[in-house]
Amino acid sequence: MRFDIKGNPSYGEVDVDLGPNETILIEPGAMSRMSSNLDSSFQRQGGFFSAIFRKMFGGENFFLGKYEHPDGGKLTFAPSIPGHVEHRQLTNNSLNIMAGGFLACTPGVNIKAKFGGLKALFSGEGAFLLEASGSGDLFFNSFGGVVEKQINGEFIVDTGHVVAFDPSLDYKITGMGSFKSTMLSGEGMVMRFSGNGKLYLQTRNVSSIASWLTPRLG
Amino acid sequence: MNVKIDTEGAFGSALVTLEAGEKFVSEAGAMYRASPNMEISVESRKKKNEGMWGALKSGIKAMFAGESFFLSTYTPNDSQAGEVGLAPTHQGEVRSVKVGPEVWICSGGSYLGSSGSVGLDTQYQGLSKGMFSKEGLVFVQASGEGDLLVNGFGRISSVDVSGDITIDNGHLIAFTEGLEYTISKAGGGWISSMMSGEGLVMKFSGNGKVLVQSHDPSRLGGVLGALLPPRED
Amino acid sequence: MKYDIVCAPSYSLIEMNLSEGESVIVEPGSMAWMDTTIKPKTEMKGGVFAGIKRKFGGESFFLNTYTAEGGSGTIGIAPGYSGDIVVRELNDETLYMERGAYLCHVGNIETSATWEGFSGTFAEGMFGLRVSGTGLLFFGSYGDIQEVEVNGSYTVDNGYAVAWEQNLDYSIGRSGRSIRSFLFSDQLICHFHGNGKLWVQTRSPRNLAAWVHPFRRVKSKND
Repeated sequence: MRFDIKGNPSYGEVDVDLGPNETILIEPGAMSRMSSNLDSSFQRQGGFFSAIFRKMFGGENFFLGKYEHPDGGKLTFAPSIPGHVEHRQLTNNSLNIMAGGFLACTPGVNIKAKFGGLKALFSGEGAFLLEASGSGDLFFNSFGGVVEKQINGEFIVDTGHVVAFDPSLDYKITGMGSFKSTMLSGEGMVMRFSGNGKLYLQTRNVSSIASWLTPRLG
Repeated sequence: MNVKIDTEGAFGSALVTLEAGEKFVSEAGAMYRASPNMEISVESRKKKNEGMWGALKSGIKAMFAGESFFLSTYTPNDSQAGEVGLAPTHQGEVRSVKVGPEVWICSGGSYLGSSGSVGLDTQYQGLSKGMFSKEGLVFVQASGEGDLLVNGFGRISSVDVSGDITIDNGHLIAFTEGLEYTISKAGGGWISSMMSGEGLVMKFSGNGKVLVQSHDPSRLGGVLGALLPPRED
Repeated sequence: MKYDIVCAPSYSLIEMNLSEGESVIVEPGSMAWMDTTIKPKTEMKGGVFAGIKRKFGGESFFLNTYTAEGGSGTIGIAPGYSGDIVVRELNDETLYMERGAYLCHVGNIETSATWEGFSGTFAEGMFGLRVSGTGLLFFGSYGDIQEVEVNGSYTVDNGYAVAWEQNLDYSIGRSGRSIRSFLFSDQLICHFHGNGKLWVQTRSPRNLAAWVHPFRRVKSKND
């Protein structure tokens, strides 16, 4: 499989050239154009219970669009939210991705939900994590610009601004100080990271757009 | 007449400079800035050869269908040059394409503006299967000679068709008249499409050009709409 | 204090580095990330009345102050909407801006509401914001930002004017003289007069709100 990411940083989209019988699994609705011969179907991820869990908490649908053909073919796909598309080659390792950030993968990559804890439920982001593990190609996206930070120590991030992070980083979900100051400060929940590892951040998120737009609705 | 398109960054816009006597047309509501001598007249959309009363009637119907049906025409009202800035609703690129000899069929939300010399049929019925289009019922046919400004959600790519290509309907901006197409569900069946999340697709064949957008606004609408408070109607 | 604007011009974010003891005052909800040496404090700036004035200006009742304690630290600041960020040094000056455009400031700057004196369907800005003092001011635009040097007059569609210098006046009118423009009741136009700088943005939240309308859930009896 050959791929080319075009349009970063504002409008990342992925062109993929599938070889004979090569398969790609993509987020529902992500296909924008393809050679007409490709077979498209759907594939449920994981067992029944994990699929339900992922749908309720993971933010990703538990069906993925599946594209393949004995002759191969071309396919272009893009995330629902415009921004930066990133590729990671997994080689028997893993990456944690926030709900909504998963875009596509090849069949060797396993997607599993991680429960973020009760506090995460109130975060507004779902704040649930997916763990992508195994070997293969992984595509994930951010809303808007992406900023990569190498963390050595501690760092605080508003949950809506987290895209993905290395599993070597620990995290805790908290409010901003006391509950009252969380409500008053206007800030949502934050994730407090500690350890050493790479952190992908985004400069915008959809729930902030919703908060901004709400008083301006007709 | 000069059209300057702002291509830096993710939010395209166009600044049109007009000499006295020149006219430019746009989707009403697209204007965001103008020199004080710019005369703006708002008109209803018309079918070709349709009179004013017919236009008003079909326009009101269109309004209840949720479409904005007004076009604005700009021209300097004195002997000086003037400028008018046009911006789309969504973030994304703005591009200018030449009309003539090619006739362009442009989807609803993608039409931004056109020079006065371009003939517009804003109730183009040639796309009879259009009622299944996710873009809505409105397609605009641009013919004659001049510039057509289109906007896309995301970046705009031009695809030269010579053979077969399948394009998700939410990503279609415009295509040249003469291309053959069929509209169907992706995934071969309704259930399969529902599960894989794909909607309607258009399969183009023949020879021509298609303009596509990298992102589909209805997907953003779905995500954003779910986070907003419910509406009254 | 050092700052850098990253991901410009469309998803701009301020990465501000504060030395120990330095503070920045920020619109609530705009903190994206920060070092653990940055400590927040939520307060009403300038007492109860200033808070109320700010509330009617469309900005929150409270402003957040972030201070570096026990070392220097970095804070990332961004608005909720996509677009650019403008940095403006104020030297005992006044700037007017659309509510919602204010992002943060460093220094001795006061924000208060201005009553535009216009009633009707002026959805965006019955209230504007008056920002004055001395310091460094950051404000945001929805979409790209364009600077217009007004010499005489200039016209901007309602919802696209972000900020303007104090020697500009403006009046509100309707577009065109066509009888049918009454159906297009929300196209209100701002005519700016005078000599000064005007900041214009290239997207309007009202257009986005109108477009997203059918995607919202319909209110049921149980809501």
